[in-house]
Amino acid sequence: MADASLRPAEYVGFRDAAAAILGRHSGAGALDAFGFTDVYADGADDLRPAYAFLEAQGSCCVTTPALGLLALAGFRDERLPADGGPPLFGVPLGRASLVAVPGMGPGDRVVVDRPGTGLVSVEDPVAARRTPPEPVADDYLTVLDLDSAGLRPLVPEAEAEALREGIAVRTQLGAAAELLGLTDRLLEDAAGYARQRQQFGRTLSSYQAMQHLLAWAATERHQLACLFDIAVARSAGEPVDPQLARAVKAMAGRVFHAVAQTAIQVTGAISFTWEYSLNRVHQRGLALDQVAGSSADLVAAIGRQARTERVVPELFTLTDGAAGA
Amino acid sequence: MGARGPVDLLQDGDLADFAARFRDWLTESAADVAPLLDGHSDYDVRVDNARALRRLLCEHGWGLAGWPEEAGGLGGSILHRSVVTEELFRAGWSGPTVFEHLEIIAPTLVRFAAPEFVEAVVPSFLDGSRSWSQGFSEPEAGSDLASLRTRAVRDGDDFVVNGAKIWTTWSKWAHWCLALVRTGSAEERHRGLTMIAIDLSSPGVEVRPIRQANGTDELAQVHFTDVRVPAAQLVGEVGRGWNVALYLLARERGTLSWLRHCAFRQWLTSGTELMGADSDRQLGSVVLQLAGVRAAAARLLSRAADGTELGPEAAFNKLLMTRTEQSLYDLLREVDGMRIALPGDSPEEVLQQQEYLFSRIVTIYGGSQQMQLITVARHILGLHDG
Repeated sequence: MADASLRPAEYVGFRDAAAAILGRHSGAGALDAFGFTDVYADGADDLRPAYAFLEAQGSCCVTTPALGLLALAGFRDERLPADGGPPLFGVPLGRASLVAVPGMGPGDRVVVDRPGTGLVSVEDPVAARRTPPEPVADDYLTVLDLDSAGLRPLVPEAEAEALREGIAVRTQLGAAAELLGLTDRLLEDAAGYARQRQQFGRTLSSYQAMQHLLAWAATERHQLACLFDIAVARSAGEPVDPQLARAVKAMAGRVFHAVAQTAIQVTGAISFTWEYSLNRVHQRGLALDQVAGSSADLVAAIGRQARTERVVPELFTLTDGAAGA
Repeated sequence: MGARGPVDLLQDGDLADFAARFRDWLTESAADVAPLLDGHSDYDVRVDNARALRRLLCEHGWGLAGWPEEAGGLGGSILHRSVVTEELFRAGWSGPTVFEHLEIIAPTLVRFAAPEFVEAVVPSFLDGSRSWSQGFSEPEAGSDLASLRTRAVRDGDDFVVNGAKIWTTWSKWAHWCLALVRTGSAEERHRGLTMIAIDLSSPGVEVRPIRQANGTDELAQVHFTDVRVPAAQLVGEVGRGWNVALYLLARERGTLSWLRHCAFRQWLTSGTELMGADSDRQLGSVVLQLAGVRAAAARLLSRAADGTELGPEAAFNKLLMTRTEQSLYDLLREVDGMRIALPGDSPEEVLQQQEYLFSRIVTIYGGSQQMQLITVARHILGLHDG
């Protein structure tokens, strides 16, 4: 985006480095090249590089298991078999029995949170996979149906309670990072298309109606980047307020949908074809909005809390350095 | 033990400590401060209270924090001023009325006016004894500001100004008008413009308040007939007024959004008592919009505090701020339309109707919503005609 200079320089450096890698690699290869395991390893306090990686993953629309790893950052459990890789987190979806695993591959181990039981591992994730209708535009998220899955207790409820908030915050900010990247991709592609596509002898971008559509989309995206950057900056120094993470995730979903609609309108009928790149980006964003609380549910929850507590949350203050970009 | 003054706190350089000390002072001074924070349906009373509050804040140093020493301040940055603003709103402030211009005009004077003039006029702006209006729009120059006609002609050590400005907010109470005037030819468009400060008590100045749709008369038309203005009151160079105007408008569109969002939060909080569960989704949406305004404003303040010149990105702040204000009042109208459509005579209800009606036109002042969108499209997205 043209406003990259407005964002925290160090974060943008991480993101651009990740984007360069994701242009050549996907899956575990991309994670290794970025050193992602060092970022989320136990004892790593600063997760900004991980969020930057996920934003780049969104803008490149590449698949890795980074989001599932980030959710369980620092989680080590001797009860997992020693020969496997680090587990991926199965992120809650709207329905209690379903979870989504980002970038799941054959042999990956999956851990899910079962409130009342604790953290459990899914014995055979591939068998629990819910079969999507073919063809699939984007297979980034694998949906598991836990009703029929074998589950093995890992962390009892009493201990899981202490982990839950951190997992939720990292999942929401990680998903928001990807949604921001997807939003950037849609906006850049739509603006690029408008600059080149000619109608009535003029570029689409010369029409004020098109300029206004795209300017509103950029404005939506700007507010998301500002709020997201504040939350990510906070994550480097202290636990992120769950209300802030919830607001970022809610805004990310809403902004994504608004910008996607603009991109579709600007791009015209080609956007409704299966093979045009917008389709995959759009469907990935649609799916990501559903994980760790959909924007619709989160917005309603934010309103409910403000009404019942009669407090409109500030989410951050100038005095804690949140304004520093 | 009395609260430490702001001078010590600025030396500490810790914004959180500064904010805590100011809160302590507000608590200790509640008997003096609280009556000045309340809203009132009589706008003249609100203006008087705003002046008294500025005076009180400056007497204790808080109103000088964040302003440069050459302007009579104590040093610090816009973040100190913004903390004071937010703490006042948290304490129940109804808003600064005519001193909303302080964050717009005073930094412009400091940046562009001669040091002697800054020293002469800014301290009295800070302490509330003098207030300012801005003269940009004209009957024949709205969004197309570069077509303005009010003319200033050099005559010895003075300029002689003739013409008229309209929609000059708070001129009725103002002592000064920061006016954009034409010193070059009409064909030069924005290159022929100059910014100059006009003393509104000068012979030849006539201020005609305009009664607005919400019953107040904040706006006015100001006529200038052979008004002599010393050249020492130039704000920036002759013919460079457009640059000064852009600097000022970036403030109006950008840094003002911090102050306004503090007010929005207060209005929305008080409005929650009217709401039921069926409003949750709409309320959540406005809360989220408010978070976006706050985050974007914080970023802009940070850049301004670093001394960065604010550019076209300030248009984002104006777009977000004004959309949120309209969404907020849409929500309040939907949950209790009677209060807005047919208010009783209590100050709260009168104010709410005034603010509702004002919210309908916030997408016009300071550069219309359409102009902001064009700014974003052309200067940020790089979309051009042709």
